[in-house]
This record gives sequence, C-alpha cells and structure tokens, in this order.
Amino acid sequence: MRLEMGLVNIKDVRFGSRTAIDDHVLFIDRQELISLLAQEPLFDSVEIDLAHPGESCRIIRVLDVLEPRYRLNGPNFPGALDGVGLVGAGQTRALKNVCVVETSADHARGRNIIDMSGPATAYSPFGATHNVVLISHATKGADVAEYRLAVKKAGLRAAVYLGAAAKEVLPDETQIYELPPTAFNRGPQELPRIGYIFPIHSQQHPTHQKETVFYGSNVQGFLPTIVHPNEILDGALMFSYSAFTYFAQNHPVIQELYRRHRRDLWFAGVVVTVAPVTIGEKERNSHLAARLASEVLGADGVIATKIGGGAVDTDLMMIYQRCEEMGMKATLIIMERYPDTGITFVPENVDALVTPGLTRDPITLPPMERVIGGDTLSLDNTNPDNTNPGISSLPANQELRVWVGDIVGAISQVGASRLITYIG
Amino acid sequence: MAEKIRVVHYLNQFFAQIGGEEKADIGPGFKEGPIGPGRALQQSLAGNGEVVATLFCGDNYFAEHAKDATEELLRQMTRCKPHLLIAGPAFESGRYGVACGAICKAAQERLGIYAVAGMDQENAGAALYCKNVYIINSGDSIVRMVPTLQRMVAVGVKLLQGTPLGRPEEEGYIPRGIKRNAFAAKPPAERAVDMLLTKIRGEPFKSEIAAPQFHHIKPASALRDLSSAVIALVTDGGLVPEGNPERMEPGRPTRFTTIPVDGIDRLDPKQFDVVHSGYDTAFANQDPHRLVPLDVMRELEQQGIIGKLHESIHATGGAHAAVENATRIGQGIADRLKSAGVTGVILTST
Repeated sequence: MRLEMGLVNIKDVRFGSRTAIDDHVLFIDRQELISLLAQEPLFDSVEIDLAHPGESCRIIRVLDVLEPRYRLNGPNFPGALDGVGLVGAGQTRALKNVCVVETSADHARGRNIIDMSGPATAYSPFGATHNVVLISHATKGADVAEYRLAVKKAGLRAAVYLGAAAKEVLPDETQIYELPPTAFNRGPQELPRIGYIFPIHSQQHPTHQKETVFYGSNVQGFLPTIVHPNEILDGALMFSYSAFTYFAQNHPVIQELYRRHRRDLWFAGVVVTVAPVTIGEKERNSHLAARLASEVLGADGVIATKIGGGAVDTDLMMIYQRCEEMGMKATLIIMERYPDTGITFVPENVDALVTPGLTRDPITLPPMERVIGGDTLSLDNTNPDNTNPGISSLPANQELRVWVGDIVGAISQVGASRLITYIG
Repeated sequence: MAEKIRVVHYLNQFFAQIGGEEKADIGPGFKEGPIGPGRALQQSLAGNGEVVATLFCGDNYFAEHAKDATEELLRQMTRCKPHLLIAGPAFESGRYGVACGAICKAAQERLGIYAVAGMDQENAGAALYCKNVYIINSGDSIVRMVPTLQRMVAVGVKLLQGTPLGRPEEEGYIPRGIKRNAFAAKPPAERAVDMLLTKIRGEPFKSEIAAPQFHHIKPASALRDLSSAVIALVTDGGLVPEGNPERMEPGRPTRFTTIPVDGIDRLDPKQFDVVHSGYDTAFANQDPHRLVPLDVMRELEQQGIIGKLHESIHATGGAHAAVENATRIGQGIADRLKSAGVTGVILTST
C-alpha cells in the first residue's frame, strides 16, 4: 500500500474573500467556514480566530489539534466525518505550518495551553504554527459530552475544509509511505524486523457511545488487530483524550520506523490495541497484541507506547513482558509525571524505557496581550500555586505558573517531545 | 552583584586547626574570618563574597550530641547573618561528612539560608543528606580541596541568584534523586528505535527510566476464626463525607481521612462523595457501596459471620500516589487499625 503525502508549505494565514492558497499564503473565507461549522445543532454560535507565531497570544482550553488534510482519492476521516471507507492509499495533501486548534468552552482547567511566544514555544511545535482556532458555544442545555464530540467533529470538518484548498496546489515535497502486504513484507536477513504495538485508547476513561476513535468505532471491546501504518497517518485515528490527533497524523514512531526502513531496520508493521479495565482483559489484549507482532508480523523487536493515565502502565508492561517471552526484544516510550517518584509498575526485567519527559515540571509563562478560547482558567489541583481544586479562577492573560505538561504538544505519549529527563 | 555574599564556613576540629583525633570531643566553636581551607574558599569567592566566620565542631562531639551541636551552631550562625553556608569538604571522613550534611539541612530548613556541602560520594553523609542538600562530590583525596571548594562556591552562587543548576555531572553535585526535564538532542521516537536496535544487537544500552525499588512485604497469615474477627474497611478509591470538608486530594495523596461509621448501616449517597482523579467516579457517587461494601459487611456482622466491623472507614485518593507517600499513608492506617484491635482489613481499590 502506497500513500503519497503531498506537503504544501504555508508561510502565512489570513482571512480573505475566498478560501485558497496563493503563493504559500492560506486565505480563509471566515464566514464560509463559520457557516460550515455552525451547521452543528449543538452549537449556538461559532467563532474563528487566528494566532500567529511570535504573537503575544495565548490559546486556552484546547481540546484537540489537527493538521489540515485533504484526500484526493477518497473519504476524509471515514466513520468520523465522511461515510464508511478506507484511508492510507493514494494521494493526500497536507498543509504544513498550519494547525486547526479546537477549544472547548467547558474545558476550564489550566491544562492545555498554547502560547504563541515566550518560553512555551521551546517545548511545543504549536507555538510555531499558524493556528486556526475554533471557538464554539454550546446551545443551552446541551449535553457536555455530546458537545465535546461536536467540537471534535467540527475540528475534522475545518481540517478537511482548509486541506481542500490544496487540492490543485503542487506540493512542495511529496513523502512516500509504502509497505507491501504483511505476507510479502520481507527484507534482507541482516535487518532486524521492527513492529510497533500501539494502544490507541485506555478505557479507564470510557469512550462515549457515539465517540469516533478508530474508523468511526468507539473502540469499546476492541481487540488487537494489524493495521497498515499508513492508516494511522491518513485519518483512521483520532484520539479520545490524553493525546492530540496531530500526533496520529504525524506519528513520531511510525515516521521514524519509515525513515529508517531498509536502512538499519525493516518496518514489520503495526498492531493497534486498546487498554481495557479489567485484569483479565488486559492480559488477553497484551497476549494477543504480542502474538500478532510475533506470529503475523514476524517481528524481532517491538516498540510500544501508551495513551492514558497510570493505569495503562500495567498494559504496557504486560505487552513488554509478553513480547520478551515470545523471543522479541521490546522498548517502551513512557511518560513520567512526578519529579520525586517513579513509575509504579515496572517489573524487574523491564530494562528498556524511553521517556518523552516529565509533565509535573513547573514553568512560568509570561503575561499575554491576547487570549483565545476564554478569559479565565483554573489551574490544576496539584499545581504549586493552586491547592484548592477548581476554586480560584485566574485571568488567563496574566503570568501563569503551570506544568510543562500543560503546554499542548510539549509531551506526547506517542513519543513527540523535545525532552528527556535526568536525575538531578 | 551589588552586595557581597556573606559566607559561613563549617569545618571539623582537624581542618579548623584545633587538633587531630585527640581533639574530636570538643564542642561547637566560632571564629571570625576564614581558617585553613577557608582561605582557599575566600579565594574561590574572589571579590563576590567574604568568609565572615568559621564554625567548627569535633567529629565525636557532633556524632554523640548531634541535636545540641546543631542548635548551638545554628545559634552562632544566626549572629553572622550569612547568605550561604559552605560545609567541608569532608572527603571520606564519615563523621565529618554526616555533620556537614546535618548542619546544611538544618540551616536551610530552619534559617532559610542556602547551603552546600562537600564530601566523597561514598561518604555516609552523602547517602543520608543528598536528597536534601546539594553535596559536591569531592572524591576521597584531600588534593581535590581547591577545585571542590570552587565548585561548592559556584553551586552556592547559582542557588543564591536563582540560576537553574545544570546536570549533576556538569555541576559536580551528587544527584538528589529529583527528576528534571532537559532538552534532548534526538526526539524520543528516534531514541527508542536506537535503544531497541542496540538491544537486538546485544550491545549495552541504558534505560532512561530506572525501575523503582520496592520493599517486599510478607502477607499476614489468614484469619482462623472470622466469627471473632474485627474487620476494617479501607479504600484508596477516594471516599469522603459529602462536600469533602477535609479537602482530601483527588490525586497525588499525602494523607488519609477517617470516616466514622459506627451505628450507620448504609452509606447514603447524599452524605458521601467520591473524590478521585483516576477513574470515572459517577458510579461510586451513585452508590458508595460499589466502592466500600459497608452494607454487606453490616449484614455479615448481624449474621455473626464476622465478629465486628471496625468503627471507621479509612480512605485516600490513590491516583498518582508517590510511593513514599503511599507507604507513609499505609503505615499510618495500619498503626491505627492495629492499636484499635482490628484483626482483618478489606482493601477496596479502583
């Protein structure tokens, strides 16, 4: 299967009379986009705002971030936005240096901040992108969970709407992602075959019945399965929580395995799984995922990551152990939370862990002239400056003492970050 | 720097030029200005600071009267209004190293002044105090006196100025066991692939996260007779009285709460709340017995299957608990239950 990802570099985003790309500038017909998104019956009103790199601007209450994409040969985000269909093959246009940022009015905590200037930009890619920010207001009495799903769907809609502007544009660069069917995916003996086991969700926070995570499925009762890596990159997956969909579209592990494919490894393929809540299900899914990597992908080595909280550490450690028992070598990417305590579930034989960083590392963000997504926020309950959960509401434009993990895109559980930790 | 840094230097009897082992019993003393290695300390400070006083104490005296000696040294330190305490370096001298660590910790906590100690990383004082005090690794040889003092001054000045310290190997201090972020040369996905390929080749590699060390606990033997047993209910699922009057943390707990249930047969959802950041608490809030089975335990008590249900439920919110805190919370609950004559505990988690 072959995916041609045509990258169109965008150097500025402006509102204009017509949505189009002209000489690397994306013009957006603001009213047309608002009308498109305002179709959603759960929205009372919708606003669109722009935030540019270097601006004294803060985006708060961020729910998800997406790269604008358009598939020339088929449905976009099938099952979630468009009807049933498949992705991962053919031609896709991707707008680079632009992101769609969804904000959610009910998302009042301090977590999930994007600053367009200042120290946060050293941590996150989203301070350096031109951000098209969606602010939607729910109708009175709208169900909070359903409103959030509507916000995420609006994000997909906007990403495809903007991506479509690149339909006729010649890409600046075309990336080829190609792997044959598993049965024929054979490389030379000397290259180790590497698979990726990818738990895409943890049911410790159960998905909503109507939620669309993988090809429109709410992934309840999901069993491990082989997927083509291109499907992850091309819109089959949107995260429920704990990660931003941008990092599925630009998946760091999949991209890295492709980058080194044929050079110092052979990319054997991807197993997608879900972290369930009961111990029996966890054991079953970790067994099945490892078995697929071993017996179907024929992997010599496996990388695994997680999505979710500490509960999924258990699943990740089980995957590691099952892989090693089956004769594969394993390495995990696992986020750290607290400076003074370790990851609780690390069995003695688990010796290969990579950290994308420590979330609870305090950082001071300077005041910003402009805030998008709300006026106030309340900081996390364990923030050093706010020990009363949900009590104090702070003006969002002032200096904020937050955690590095509150900066959107600073630490991604799928391995996107610029950080490492050390014991100091 | 506008103001000169006022430094107090702590030494043992030997380095303070009082005498050797035969003088190790002398009590705390005070002299103005630098003594012995203090002159090298003064040189390291250059024009930025001044060694205003030297405090000293005999190694044995400190070891045998740690509390009194600390009090006396702090009292004398207060008089000189220092900004910074430099203790040692003690190299491999264990008693001296422990004294350096203790006096630095006390000065930081009680007087609020910055402190830096120096000693060999194998010194007993390093293991005892490296979590609380920046300790420059001096090595075991006295020939490292001057470079060690220079590093101690450099770290002390950074602490005073609020400049973030670099990595232990850059600054020369013994790791305090506190994790920090640093910007990495390669992204995590690339490092993970590197690590995996190295592992497959059978070459040495280093995990970026060390596995935690746990104490193994031997489970108590089973109860022989339930009908005489006193059973307590304990949960880390975040049960609290309605409104959470004690403001129990929903995660990252540091304490537990004690909820009296004497004479109560059922947990009325209107009188109890569940506060926990690690799971969806809606179901336990609807019916707290889903978290803590008080109703069933009362039935068993009435039927005489168990002897008695303990008079209170102990609860904490277990999400993201630091192992140290969880250990302390567990110990605290166990001590109470044990002294109350409880013979069995049902722990419900989430």
